[in-house]
Amino acid sequence: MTGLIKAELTKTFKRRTFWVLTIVLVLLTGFLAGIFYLLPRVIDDQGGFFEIQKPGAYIFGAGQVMGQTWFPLILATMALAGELATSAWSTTLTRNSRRGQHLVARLLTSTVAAWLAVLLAIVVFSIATFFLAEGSGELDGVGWWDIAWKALLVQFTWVALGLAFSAWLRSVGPAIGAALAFTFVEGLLILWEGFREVSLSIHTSALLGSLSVGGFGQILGDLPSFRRGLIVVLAWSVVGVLISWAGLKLRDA
Amino acid sequence: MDAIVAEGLRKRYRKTVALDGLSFTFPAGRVSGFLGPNGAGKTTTFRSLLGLTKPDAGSMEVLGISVRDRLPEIVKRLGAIVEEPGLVKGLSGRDNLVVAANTLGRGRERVDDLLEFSGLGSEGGRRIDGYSKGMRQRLALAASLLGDPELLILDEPLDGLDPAGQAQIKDSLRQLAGQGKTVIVSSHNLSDIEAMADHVVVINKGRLLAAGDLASLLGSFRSGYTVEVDEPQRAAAVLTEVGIPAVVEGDLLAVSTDDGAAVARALAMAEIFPREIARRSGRLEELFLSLTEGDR
Repeated sequence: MTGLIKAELTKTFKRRTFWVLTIVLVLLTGFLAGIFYLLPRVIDDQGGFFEIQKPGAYIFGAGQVMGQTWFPLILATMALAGELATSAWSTTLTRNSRRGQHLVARLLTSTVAAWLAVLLAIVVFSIATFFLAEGSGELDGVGWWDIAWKALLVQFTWVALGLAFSAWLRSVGPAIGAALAFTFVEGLLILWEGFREVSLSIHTSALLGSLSVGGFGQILGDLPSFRRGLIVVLAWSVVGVLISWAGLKLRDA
Repeated sequence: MDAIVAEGLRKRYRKTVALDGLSFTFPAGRVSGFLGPNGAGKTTTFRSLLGLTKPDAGSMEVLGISVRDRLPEIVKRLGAIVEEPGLVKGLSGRDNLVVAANTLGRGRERVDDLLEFSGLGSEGGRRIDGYSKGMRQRLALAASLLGDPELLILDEPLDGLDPAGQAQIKDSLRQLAGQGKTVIVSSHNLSDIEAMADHVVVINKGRLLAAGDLASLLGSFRSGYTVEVDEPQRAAAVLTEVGIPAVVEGDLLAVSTDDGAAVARALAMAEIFPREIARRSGRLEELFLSLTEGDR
């Protein structure tokens, strides 16, 4: 298992894809921070929409970064579909005897890689918050720790879902397309009250408490509790892992 | 001792029968050729032996171990290239070997030695995206040797390589055979197999056609000569009359016998004087074609 994780670490960090994606994420984060903090200064009639004050603005910013679900999805897809689409997976001699371990190694490595990149982006957003946001007060150690572990869990969930799409579609383009379509549809479905009970995005927000900060949660009515958010996000993780394993098992020749 | 024993392998992909009760053995410590036309079932057989696909029926033992029951033990003791080498683009040659070593649970100690062995020592730091096909094939061979395996299974290792690349791989395989390793090679290039292997298994349509020592198989096969004469029709009639099978092929005469002197004598007695009598080249090719002729 250690060897498989080392192999995945080499594949993730020694190729350009991860670094290019990370740069894009950081630039996008800076752009978002600019919209939230600089745009209101040049627009007179903001209707109170951007009135996010410190220290809640740090949590809101973290929520914005974690909302960039394309990052873990693409990273996970590259980790698995990139190999399924070539002979790399089909000729891996340990494929059948260690299928579960291969999956876990990719799950852990992509999660950690996505987490590190997201933490970097959160730092960028937080620096912008520190200098540009209204209000006073900073997050304490517990507040930052909360952001860190929640970010880890959210990346794990989206990586698991990315692996699930990869395991079934077995090609980078279709897997990324389907995964991104899923995020779009999932976002639309929150307009349907029944789906809100299990919506990943709503329960991720509940887990983070990010939508409560600016009063955005009122748009969607009452947000689920933190406990329910945690359970639903974990459930989506389990679903992602199980679908990934089933896809690899059933679709390997 | 046999390195591989397969009994009654059957595999069907929807309507296509890939393996049809195939049984064979490959001896240990020798270089063996695995031959068959395209679609004969060679790759499916290799994939089955390596646990990459499950046959519908039959049993396989590799190095005396059941593939079905104890695959992880087998994987540690063999190296393989099946179909396209499974290399990771975007990584250097050296990093590819490191990834392969880690994936197979083997140490990285041999990485530099194997880069040298495969002639890629100075290219190890380059991304493989810039490698030629021959360089990738040599890197894949190096990866298959990471665990110092007892058995090497190589599916078309010379396919698509230029003559220089083929010569390098053949040299490497001869070195490995000299170290007492069991090497099994499939190839379309029969003269390469003839030059490297001393045992062959020939299959077609998932069935065994022939197996055994190359020398004895070729010995049992009537090879022959190509004769260049002015009157091929009359020469063919003369030879057929004295019991030597001969047919006209264009301007030449194809004669099926190992006794070249008898051919020369019979033609001389009929006052036919050949410009050239040459042993037909590619004897394994003839054997292969004659074996697969009825199935094509």
